[in-house]
Amino acid sequence: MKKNFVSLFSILLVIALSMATLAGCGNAPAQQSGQTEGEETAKEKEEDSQTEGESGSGEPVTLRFSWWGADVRHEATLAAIEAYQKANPNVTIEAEYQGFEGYQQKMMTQLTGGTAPDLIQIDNVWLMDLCSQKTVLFDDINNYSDIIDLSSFEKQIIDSYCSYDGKLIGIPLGTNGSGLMVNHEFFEKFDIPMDTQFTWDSIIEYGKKVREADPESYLIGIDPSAESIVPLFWEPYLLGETGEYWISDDFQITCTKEEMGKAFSKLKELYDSGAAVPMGETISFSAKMEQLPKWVNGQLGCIMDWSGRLPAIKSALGAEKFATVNVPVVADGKLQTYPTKPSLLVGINNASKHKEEAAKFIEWMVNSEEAAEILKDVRSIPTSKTAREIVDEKGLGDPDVLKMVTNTLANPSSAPPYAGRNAEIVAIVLEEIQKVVYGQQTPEEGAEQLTARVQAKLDSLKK
Amino acid sequence: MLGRRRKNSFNMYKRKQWMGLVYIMPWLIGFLVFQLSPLISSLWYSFTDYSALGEAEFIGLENYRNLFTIDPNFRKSLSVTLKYVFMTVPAKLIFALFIAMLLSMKLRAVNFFRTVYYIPSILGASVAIATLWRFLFMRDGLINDILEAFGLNSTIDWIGDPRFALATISLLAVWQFGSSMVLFLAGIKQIPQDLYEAACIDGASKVKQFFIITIPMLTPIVFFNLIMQMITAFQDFTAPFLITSGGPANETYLYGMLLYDNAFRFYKMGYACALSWVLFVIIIAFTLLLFRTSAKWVFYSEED
Amino acid sequence: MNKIGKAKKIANVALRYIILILVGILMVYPLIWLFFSSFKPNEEIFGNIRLLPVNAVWNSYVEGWKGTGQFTFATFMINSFKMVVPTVALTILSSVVVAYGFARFRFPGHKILFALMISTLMLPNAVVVIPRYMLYNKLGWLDSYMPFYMPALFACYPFFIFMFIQFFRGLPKDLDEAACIDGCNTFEILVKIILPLSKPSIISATIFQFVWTWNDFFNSLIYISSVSKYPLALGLRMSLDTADAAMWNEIFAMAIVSVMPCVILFFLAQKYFVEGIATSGIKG
Repeated sequence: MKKNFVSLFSILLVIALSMATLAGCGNAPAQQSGQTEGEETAKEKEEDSQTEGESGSGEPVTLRFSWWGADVRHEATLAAIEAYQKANPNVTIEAEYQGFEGYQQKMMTQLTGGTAPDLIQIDNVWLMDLCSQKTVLFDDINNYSDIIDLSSFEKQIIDSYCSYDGKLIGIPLGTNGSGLMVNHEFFEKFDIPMDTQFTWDSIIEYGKKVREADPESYLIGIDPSAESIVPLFWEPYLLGETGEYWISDDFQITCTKEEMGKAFSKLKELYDSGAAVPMGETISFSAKMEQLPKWVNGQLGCIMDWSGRLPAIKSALGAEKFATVNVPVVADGKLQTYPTKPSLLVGINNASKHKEEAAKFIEWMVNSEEAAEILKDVRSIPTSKTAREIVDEKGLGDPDVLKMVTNTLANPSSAPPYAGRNAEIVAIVLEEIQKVVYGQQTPEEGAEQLTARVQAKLDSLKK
Repeated sequence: MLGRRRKNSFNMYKRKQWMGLVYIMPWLIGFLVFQLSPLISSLWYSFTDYSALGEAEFIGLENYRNLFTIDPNFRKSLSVTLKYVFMTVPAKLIFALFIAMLLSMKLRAVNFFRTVYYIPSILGASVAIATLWRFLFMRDGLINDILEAFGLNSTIDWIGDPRFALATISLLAVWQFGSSMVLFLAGIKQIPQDLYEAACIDGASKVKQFFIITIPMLTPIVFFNLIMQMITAFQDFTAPFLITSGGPANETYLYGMLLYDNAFRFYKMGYACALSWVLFVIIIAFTLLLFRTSAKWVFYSEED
Repeated sequence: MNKIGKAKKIANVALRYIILILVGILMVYPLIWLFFSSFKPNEEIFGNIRLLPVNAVWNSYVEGWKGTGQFTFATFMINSFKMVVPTVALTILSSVVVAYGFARFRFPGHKILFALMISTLMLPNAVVVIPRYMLYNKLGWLDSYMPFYMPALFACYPFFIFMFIQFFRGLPKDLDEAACIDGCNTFEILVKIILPLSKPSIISATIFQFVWTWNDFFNSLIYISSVSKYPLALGLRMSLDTADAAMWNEIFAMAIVSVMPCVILFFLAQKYFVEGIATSGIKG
């Protein structure tokens, strides 16, 4: 046995060493092997490029494009890349796609290491954090306005959601609206009208009615994740109440502690009155409210969320029971508008060697009929008017998403100041909200705490 | 019993001590090449405003000052993490030792049982774990259903209630006790049988044998498990990362999560570095404490 | 008396089995649930906590295996093996050698070097990720498995070194000395005396490193960017986004498939724990 073991160990040793050497040989020039692959495909492409595409001339170029998403988005984007490569045989696009988990960390590491892809999908809430750095990470797309036709985008969206300091950081790929995702059978059962504009007060009243009729059911589910409750309740509530965003562009808190206290109180009332599913029950369903058993089983009237999450929420319930209405507003508020934002942006890495080619691909992606037909609404309803028209005309989008986005855009909120999108500020708001809702502090204490902590953070951002 | 092995001080290793350096050479090279410079960089960054996305500017002790004076999450996370360490580490070790004892006996289907007990550890931080844990511990979940079957009408949100959240996610760590168990199993199997034979002849009962042979002979492994589990537990953030993102009301905001947030969500890498060096010092302190006490309760057969 | 003794023994064994089975159910129930859930449509997975599917979905394994179309899970599975197997072998190899050096020799600087080694475990990974990434970038190792192999070759896993040290120190030194009298040099002692006695610990280290590298998400995420090189840990999370309705049965199905190699390895390897080590036999 002893002998066996010695030989086992030596075999292990040999395997290890040989595999390592093999792998070493195979990998040491990792980039090279990648390039060879790229060249091969490029060659193949060249062969069938006799027909010659529009921009078929030019040096062979390899672009890397990173995005996150689920299967539908991956498949559509891969198909789009395929189509683009066919039309532009000199271009090879390497797709680097993944799920959402870890995307931001990876992007950051790559940007730091100078290894980031040429085209990078980003979330508009990251914009300020990415652009307030000492290094310029993304190129100003205004430089490529001769390649990318910016006229197909609303100027307001380009300026206030996608630009920072006058530089256009990313081209919006889709538009998010907001609303209540409704189980209309539930609304009919409890005799709640669908054709009214809800206010937070009316939600609370209807919510109480539901609880009286059936103690197992709730009217509304509020996604407790920072990406939802802050931009869909906290911000809009204060905006409605005061007529302006609670944080201004010059890094000041604009609302008073009383006003903040009011927002806290209203939220607490939503939970305490039983209108909303208790926070304790939803907290582990952050950003996955569709998995809430009460929603699947029809014991929940509606979920408030971004239209981007609509497909998931709808499919969990079943399309036949699903409908949408607008988000609640503040009763007698100064403003009664609906939050919107671009779902995703695509930016050009400033360190990219092929920025113009990257811009050409973006132009094709957002403004060509072919791309619109392939990409449909996998990044929400396209923001580009050209693409949107095609999607509308051919009915390529989910009608409910379309409806929610259209309704939101009929009465959209103005763009929130970037400072309010700082990840740490949003996290602080969420934390104080939780403490208030759990009764660990009063709304007044919450307002006090929040003001102090957020102001401190704003001061450090101002620097 | 252990004294039986006492020998003359003849020791061939004493004559070839320098050979040790040859054996540890691979590590030494690895340490110098792969580990030292990241270590030093992170120490340097902790005195800067490094965002990970731009140049770092020296700001002296400001990160450390902020951490101790301003940041309420630092204190919160630290206290949550200490609770977590003190809950999970002993529970995990005791449980692992108990199961390892059972599994080291000659039983039918013992192979099958061993595998079953290791499965949770294989699942690790799998994508399915979060879903699973929610499903077990939500208000309408399996745990409450089982409690109900025993006549306890429970409507507790085990994850969503600030009072129970930390205990619930600690359970996830304890549930994954497999690696400690495997080490104990290996340790038990390494105990020379002649010790037991001798004890048998001396007429020691099974229980006595456990306390005078098994436990003392296992102490090096207990010690190893204790140190490693402690180090891991201090840095752990699997559960909040997958399930709670730190809530409710920061009750599960483990230090590792705070660190991760600062490094990769808030773009405060310099601050994150300061946080981790503070954690480093804390862990070192605990480790030294354990090493100090180890002379009193850890037995090595090699010692002559 | 004898009868009572026998009855007691039976009761004892029965008790052990009862404990093992009860705790075992607790341990494995989640996996069973996962298995059945891989045959359920979403609304059954999330709508109730029933174990068995009502309207079973049978194609989840086939559909899940296909992935997003560009690469199937076969690619990810092969990648995982390519990444994990050399890493494990190199780790064991280097750690054993280094641990022997630490465990048996009292060279100058022993204590300080040991402390340094252990202390590298104590700094959280999050803050060394970026400097390390830069280093590997300079070495040209990104988007390959070298960031896994090379640290393994150079014993950068103090966990295993420390673990082997503890096990080696549990081995009586008189065996080494007996061998020394027989004329073995230190390397021969390591290979002929210590290693055969350390089989349980080597097997455990193999299992750990296999499972940990297999499941390692954060490092694979950072170092591997081509989808064609993704290991399973990345492949599994590739379709998870909050926005879209995921097919959870497929995700669960692939989660199960992806842990199977680890389960099989463990099942096969564990017989080495059962095999007691007869020290006396070697002595003779």
